[in-house]
Amino acid sequence: MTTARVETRGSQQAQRGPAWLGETLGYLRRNPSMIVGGLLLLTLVLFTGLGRLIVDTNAASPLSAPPAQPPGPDVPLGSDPQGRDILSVMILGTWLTVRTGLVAGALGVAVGSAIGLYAGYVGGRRDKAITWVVDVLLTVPAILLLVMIAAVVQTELTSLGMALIIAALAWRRPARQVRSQMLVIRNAGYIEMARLSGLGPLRIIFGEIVPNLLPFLISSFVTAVSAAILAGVGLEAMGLGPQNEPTLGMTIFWIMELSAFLRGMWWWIVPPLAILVVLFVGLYLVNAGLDELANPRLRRRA
Amino acid sequence: MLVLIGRRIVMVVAVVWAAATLNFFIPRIAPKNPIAEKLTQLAGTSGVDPTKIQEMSQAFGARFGLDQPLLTQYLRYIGDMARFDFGQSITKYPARVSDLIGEALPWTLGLMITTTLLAFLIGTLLGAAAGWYRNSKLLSVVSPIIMVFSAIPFYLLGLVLIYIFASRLGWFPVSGGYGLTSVPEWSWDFAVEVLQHATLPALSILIASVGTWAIGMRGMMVTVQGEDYMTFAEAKGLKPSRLFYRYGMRNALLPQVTALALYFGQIVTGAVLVEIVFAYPGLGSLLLDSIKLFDFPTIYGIVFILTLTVALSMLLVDLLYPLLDPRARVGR
Amino acid sequence: MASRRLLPSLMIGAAFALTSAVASAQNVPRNRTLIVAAQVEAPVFRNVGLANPFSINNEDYRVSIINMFEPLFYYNVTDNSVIPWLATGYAYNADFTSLTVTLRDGVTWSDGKPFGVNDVLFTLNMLIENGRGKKDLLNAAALAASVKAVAKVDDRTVRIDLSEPDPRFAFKYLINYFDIGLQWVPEHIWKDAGDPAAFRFFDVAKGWPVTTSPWTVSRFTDAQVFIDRRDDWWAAKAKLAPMPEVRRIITVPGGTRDRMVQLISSNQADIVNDIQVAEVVRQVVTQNPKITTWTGKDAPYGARDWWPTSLYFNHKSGKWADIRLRRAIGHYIDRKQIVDVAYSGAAEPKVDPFPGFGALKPYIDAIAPVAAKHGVGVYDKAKGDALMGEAGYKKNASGIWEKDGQPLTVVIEAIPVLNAVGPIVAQQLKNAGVDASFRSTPESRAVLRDGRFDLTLFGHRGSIADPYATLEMYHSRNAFEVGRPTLFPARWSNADYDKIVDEIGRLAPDNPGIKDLVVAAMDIWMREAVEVPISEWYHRVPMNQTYWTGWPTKDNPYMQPSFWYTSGSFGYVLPRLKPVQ
Repeated sequence: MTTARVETRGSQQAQRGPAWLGETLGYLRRNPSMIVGGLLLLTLVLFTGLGRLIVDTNAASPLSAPPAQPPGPDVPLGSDPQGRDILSVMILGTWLTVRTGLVAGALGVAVGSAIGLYAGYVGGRRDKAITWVVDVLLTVPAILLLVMIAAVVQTELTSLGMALIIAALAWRRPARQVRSQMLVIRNAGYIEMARLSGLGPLRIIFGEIVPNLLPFLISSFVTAVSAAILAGVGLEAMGLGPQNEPTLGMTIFWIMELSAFLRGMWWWIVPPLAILVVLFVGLYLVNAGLDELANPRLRRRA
Repeated sequence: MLVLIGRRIVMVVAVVWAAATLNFFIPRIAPKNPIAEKLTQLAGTSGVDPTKIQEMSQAFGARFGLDQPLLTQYLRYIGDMARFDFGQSITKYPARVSDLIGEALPWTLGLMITTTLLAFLIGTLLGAAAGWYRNSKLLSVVSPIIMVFSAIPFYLLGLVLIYIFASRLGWFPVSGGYGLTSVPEWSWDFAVEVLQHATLPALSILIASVGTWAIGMRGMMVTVQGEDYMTFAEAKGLKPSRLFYRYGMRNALLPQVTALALYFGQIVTGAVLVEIVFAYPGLGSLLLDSIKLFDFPTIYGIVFILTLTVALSMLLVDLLYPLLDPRARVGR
Repeated sequence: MASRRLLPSLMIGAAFALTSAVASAQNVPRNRTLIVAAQVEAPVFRNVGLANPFSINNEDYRVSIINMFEPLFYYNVTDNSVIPWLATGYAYNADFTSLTVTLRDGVTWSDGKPFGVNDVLFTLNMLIENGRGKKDLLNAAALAASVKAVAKVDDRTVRIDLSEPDPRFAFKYLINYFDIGLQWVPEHIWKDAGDPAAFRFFDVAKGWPVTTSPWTVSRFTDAQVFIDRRDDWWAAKAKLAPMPEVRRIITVPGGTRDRMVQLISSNQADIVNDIQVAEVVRQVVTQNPKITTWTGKDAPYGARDWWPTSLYFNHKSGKWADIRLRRAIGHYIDRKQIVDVAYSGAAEPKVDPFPGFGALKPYIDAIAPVAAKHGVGVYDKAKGDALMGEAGYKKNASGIWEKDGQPLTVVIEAIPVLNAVGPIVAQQLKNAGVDASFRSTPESRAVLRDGRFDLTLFGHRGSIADPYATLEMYHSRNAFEVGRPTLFPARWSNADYDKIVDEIGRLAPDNPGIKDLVVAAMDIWMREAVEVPISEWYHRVPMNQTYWTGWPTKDNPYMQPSFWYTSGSFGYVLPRLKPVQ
């Protein structure tokens, strides 16, 4: 391997390009699901990103178009019974929903990992206490927390606010999982070495352990985003979400509330479902594609 | 060994007590009077004088001990939970909470638990196969299809299924647990009817959740394959099927089962929308109704049972783990 | 070997056969069964086995068993007629401080005992005592405040002495319609009941609830209420009504709108609850020729309700103190657009808070010029902008009206039935430069009730034939301070308005002098821009004629359109339903 690198650096560098590009391309070739997943997510990003530049997202508000129109020249995806232009709703809604997922997922994994890493590393009574607290918090049903918070916080709920509430529930699982991972790694040889050489706990955790856990953390993040989006859509569909924002979950709420199925409004039902499917499938495939990163020994099985 | 079990049980009790305490105070964050909420709701359909709500709320307060200091109420609550005496519902007075839960439980158990276990079995097998035989052509076609369906939330799938199979084709009943005019009885006809009514809700939950279990299991399987003991077993020349079952599945199964145990705590809240869409009278919709009306006794009763279920299943998993995985036998 | 297993299987087989046989003996054929899908918030009945008319948890009773409780008087709002039933008449004394009620002879309870003065007195006294004491029965507190004493005059007459002159007492308690009116319970059973708030009054074996109707409850579970016909009924004997042809009524929880539509479209239910969405009802009646509504196959596919919708200002929060601001908001609301979008055109816009029932039409017509004079109901953005300018508002960089650095931000609270309207009103205000958002959560009801809202969308109740009830809602005694619960959201007060309303209150409902007073009161109301009236509210209830005809409709209005609502009026309709097959 070293030899190849020297050769690359020397004579063939001009043709092959940097080494990391070669490795990345190789990885992708072995894990096509990463490509497919990435493409799906990229399509959505382009849809919502470019969409917001091209299409007027103000049309995602009610009374922007004649109500309950099937797709036509003025309204490419039709309109809903309250006059929202569905194309605009999809563009804006995708962005809002994905943002909720990203914020909640990132916060949840960050906070959860920090707690899990700490608990797993220190062990003993502190670890037991933290585990106990996490287990207790895992028993609180999400609906209960959401309705109670809504009852106390009198200002209107925005999608960012909802992301924070979901994050408050989302950190529990990563905490448990990261702690388990930490328990396994803690006793590994190189950690023992690091400890013996006098490195402080923070340096060990962030210098040695986290880089090794990185693939797991990334995978955990992707899962958390997926779960957060699912939770968000579920709560919004029950009517507990940000009612003035045209998120995908709120679209589903209105579909059920205004009897879209009975009225045969297929143009309104299909787009949000299709986007959700693409989103979840994309996230799953990316996660599957990260397998090898998490476990390099799998490469042999190709 | 007994000491280990004993310690675990103490942990469970500690978790349940702490959870019960937390769940006592959470609904009390907002200064709500369940009677006032109920009367407000009722004022739409009955002769509740719109201006007398405060008087009536106070009148009921004494009956339910709502006028006592919070600490007193808390102590009474802990005592009641310990004796499984959930008392009477406030907003459905004089119905007893245990009766309400008792009526809803069979539907939840019957529908959710059956479909969850079925989905778990099918999904785990499917996921294991997908993780093991990563080159299989069949699996590369079936897996994406399952994934697509699992990306759709249960209740939406349910609406679609109702629309296609019940409304349009008329193959299945639209909703409910049994026919409108039928009286439940122990007869073949009735059993068939219940199954007929349960098919669509069960199918929508099944289709939508098989994927989740499959994905989890596949991930576990993939991780396991990379382990040293797998390489060793392979090198020993063991049969592929033996490798698959005794080495692959058995080890990948453990985290999967832990996930199942934790999942049971979420079943009820996850089922709320399914129950609403299918008019299925389970615990999920009872919980949502109680939360909306701040019916404390019912909320406490249901959440306590959920907590117990989760805690007990975690205990079960913790106790079984050492039996299944020798590495976990050495005390931590 | 074989015999050991044979006996148990024989027994099980016999048990099956027996239960099947028993179950089928209880079966009533579909063409003699009436199936009602009632609207309850849950997918099941949650108050099973409760048949107590005064319990606050009896919502399941109110959609089923209440129709077994016959009132002293029925009332048909379509022709403003009082129908004497358990009573034959009532009369006030000269100054409306007392009234006498004459009961009908020959009425019997379902257990054979006669209905009489002692039952009426017992019910009234029980409620009054509770209203002065524990206050945990429905209607008790209000009744106790209105009544000084009740007394038996003779074997057929009761005298009720009022604590204040009230020409409308009978219409508040003795005449049953919509959700108003008392139910009467048998003294010989209730006197041993113990705590009336905890008394279930339900026992199939004992035949409880005991009522005067030809019905008895044979089953009450969380999924069904079976009400079966008895064989004797005093009204059939007295030739007051025919014996019902319906032999069994099955009431089931209706569930979601989709489910109710599917039940009635497939002829599985004969009547379901309010479908609300006009477009959906239109489809239902077009696709199934056997389904009709109050207005048949035509818009608005249902009947007017006593709940016209308005956008209420919170007069106690201080936000709306400036009358120009209130008027401006009124000019920003486009009622026609709301009717077109939210109700698919099948509704009528309003400029006053009265439902357009026949008896109220003369008053509404008299008020129309007053509304025009004050510009109520006029959609004119320019006028609105001018008023905002006068009130000191300027549009800021984002196009929102701003005064003293504070943008005008409002939240419109709505309850779930108004979900179709809320976002539209919010958007109209947004388009006019008000930063409006709408909210409909479990918390909204409480916010509305406690007076902590900015704006709210809500209905009225109140008047049906007599304008006093609606006017009284705006009397200053109903303007509770923020934090005290009430379902009269306006919380507005005006001394001149109070005087006029008090005067109306002293006059009998049929006094011709009332009309001018009403116009005077509404002049003040509209001048002060108390609220923004939006539209009428309709109950769009489909009735399936595959098995039963004879439903009350616009062409055959023998009972009011909301007979199925929680007053027991369905009991009047039941004997008049005719089987088709």
